[in-house]
Amino acid sequence: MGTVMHPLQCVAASIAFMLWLAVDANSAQAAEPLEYSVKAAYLAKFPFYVDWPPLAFSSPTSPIVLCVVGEDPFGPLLEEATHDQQSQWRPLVVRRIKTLSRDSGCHVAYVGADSVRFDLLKGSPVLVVTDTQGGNGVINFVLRDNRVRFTVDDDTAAQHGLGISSKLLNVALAVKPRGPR
Amino acid sequence: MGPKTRSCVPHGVELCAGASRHRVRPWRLSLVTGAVLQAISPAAGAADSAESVASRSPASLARLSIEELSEIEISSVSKRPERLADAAASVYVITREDIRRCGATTLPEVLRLAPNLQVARSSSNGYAISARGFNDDNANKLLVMIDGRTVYTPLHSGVFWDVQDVFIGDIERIEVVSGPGGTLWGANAVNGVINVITLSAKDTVGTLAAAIAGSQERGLAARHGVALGDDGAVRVYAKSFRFDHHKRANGTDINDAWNREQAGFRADWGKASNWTLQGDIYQGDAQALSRPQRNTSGANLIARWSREYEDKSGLQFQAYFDTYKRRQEGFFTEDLDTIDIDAQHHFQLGSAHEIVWGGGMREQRDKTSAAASFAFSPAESKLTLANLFAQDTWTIQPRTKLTLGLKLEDNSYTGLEYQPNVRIAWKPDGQALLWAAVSRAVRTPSRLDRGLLVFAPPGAPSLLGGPDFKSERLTAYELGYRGQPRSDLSYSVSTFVHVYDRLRSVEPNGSGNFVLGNGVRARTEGIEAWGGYQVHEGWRVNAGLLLQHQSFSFAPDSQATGTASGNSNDPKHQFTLRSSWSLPRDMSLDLALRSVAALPSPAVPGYTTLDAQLAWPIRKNLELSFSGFNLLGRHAEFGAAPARAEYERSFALRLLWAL
Repeated sequence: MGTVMHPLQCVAASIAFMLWLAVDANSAQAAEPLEYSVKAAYLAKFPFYVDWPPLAFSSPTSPIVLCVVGEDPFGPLLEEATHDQQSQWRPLVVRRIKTLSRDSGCHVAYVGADSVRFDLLKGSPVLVVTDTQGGNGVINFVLRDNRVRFTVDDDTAAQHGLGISSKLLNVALAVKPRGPR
Repeated sequence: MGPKTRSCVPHGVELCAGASRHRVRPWRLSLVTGAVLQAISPAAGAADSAESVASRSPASLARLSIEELSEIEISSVSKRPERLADAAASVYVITREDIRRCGATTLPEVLRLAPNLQVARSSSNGYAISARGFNDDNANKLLVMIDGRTVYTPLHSGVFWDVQDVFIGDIERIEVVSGPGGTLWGANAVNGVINVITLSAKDTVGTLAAAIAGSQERGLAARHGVALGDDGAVRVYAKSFRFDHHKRANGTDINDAWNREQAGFRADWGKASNWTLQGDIYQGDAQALSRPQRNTSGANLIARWSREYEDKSGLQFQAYFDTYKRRQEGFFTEDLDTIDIDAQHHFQLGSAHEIVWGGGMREQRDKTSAAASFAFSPAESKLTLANLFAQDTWTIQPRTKLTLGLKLEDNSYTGLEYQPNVRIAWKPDGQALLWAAVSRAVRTPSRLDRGLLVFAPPGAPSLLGGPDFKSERLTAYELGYRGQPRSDLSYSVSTFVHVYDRLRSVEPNGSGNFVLGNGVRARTEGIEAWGGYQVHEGWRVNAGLLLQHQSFSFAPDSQATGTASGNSNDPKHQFTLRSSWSLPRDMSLDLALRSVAALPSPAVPGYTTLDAQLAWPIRKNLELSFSGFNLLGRHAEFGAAPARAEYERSFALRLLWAL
């Protein structure tokens, strides 16, 4: 008869095995395509929850321009996501640009991981969306618990004349509130 | 074990408590940073559609609501993909929004929000808290965890509620499971589990300060969090409060005032792997009725690492150290040190099986001293607890999941115990879930059961712990239904039959003394029900109901006499009704009505009471709230008359300041 393993030893052996798994396991971290599909869907939705000042548009039916600044991680995803979207009576159009400035004509600007040169915008009403946690956009995508979430800087939004609806603020992971006027 | 992996409830999904849709304005959001997700989170339906959509074309995502988008798992490698909507158990989740709106400043008071818990205050600093009966000052059939750290004491398997605290504003959610915790939870999850989960430090960047001044309590608390690079953050907090004496029915002071100070920190960092390091330090002193002043102090440190892999598997390790001292000089002292390590691994087996397995070890060393009335033998002890568990969730067909689990637990007193459970969940559609479970749970002996010595005057009988005291056993049968027939209405109904044997009894030992034995059997049948209704955008109503019937008997081999009771003092029913209004100018008014039936022994009359809170944002980032407690007059909640405390009308002003 072999000796029966004491339960403590058994547990210790199991934990050692899992430690080995931890060391051994593959740690490749490829970007999930779904991540950018979800981000594209968000970008197509955000305009529903944002009020631009009237002067941001040349006419009541002129489109909301969604710009991808610099590197484009979306490919066709953004066009697919915005295809059937229309915010009130305005269509959504996607434009890809190299740098963002006040003359870019963008209403929404996705700037990826770059930090935003707000000095170039000079207060013009652009909903700047970054892809970094702690980014300085009005909306910053954050990966949390395996989900795409976002934070909102309502203070910066206010400084640029943007009104963010409470519904969007409710869904945000965190909100930097408007400062006192 | 870590709260995240053991959680049966994912972040942000919350069916039982309902998807409340309070209007939450920016100033308020800043006070509840990151919390609001729970308050407006989509319930089962949305989560379901989000799941099914994940496999469809990216374009179809555009048809989802923004809430639904926030619920999509982007790589489907969630540790525990089980959602509350899918959990085959009676689970209630207390959300941040609930906590913010109830005005409670201590953990036990916050727990009153869970309709499946019995919370009875026995003094200013003492609570009796249990689920499904067996409530007592030392209620011993509950597992309580704070961020993965188990806080019940091996002394009597109960929780000293006067030393359990967190920075209330940083609680992410509290999961309350009534019924056996099943395989995945730690030891002592017999009648229920309370899992307090605080926010990641990444969600608490900024400063939050709170001050409260009231007719019964005064306190200050502050937290400051900073980001550490792109993928990390750390916060520190400190709090201090004082509660005044309560009065007996005859108007005399009961001498139960207490003070408490606590400070702590939490750091979270990492992208591919998540690291958490957190700790607390505290001290308190409490007047204790006619006994010597009680001084408590303690500290804890937790380290946790977790990682998810591409193949839908994941690993988590956690280790913690906890030390505390409980001193009532001349009456009783206890020093306890705990070291605990846990590991957990989950993976997919084929397309239909999801396996979770793991293990843990705990070592607890304590030192007790006692004076005239009672002691523990031996005065010092070293207890070990080890467990191994495995669970398979088998998707038999898309709508039906069968969960089989087994936990083996080895303890210093009774050796190996096994705790199996079988659960089945059927989703007839995305808005409903029918579940059933059969499980077995044990409460392993505590220090008290084996080594209690109650000294008696010469000639009178003594009471001793039972050297052969065995584990108390429960077989539980549960059946439940959760539904969300409309987007503004959700509810949950659970029924249970708990059959206990080998419960603690007091047996004559033949030499004129008494020993603790396992001579009581019991059966509890009950119903737990709750629901939430969004009357209109600014008004939500939540109701909860608990009905239970208990019967006790002595086992045939028991020599005990008198009435079998099994250390319990429970109401036959309790009822809660909460109304949350959003008023103009961002004010909010919350009312909470609570009705608890009489307790049998010691007898406590039934009571109905009302708490109210009016919150008002006086400036951006500055909220003033006015709370009234026990507005319907004074009542007692636990303990024997005439010595027990009664709780009278009290008021508090609170200021919350977010920077």
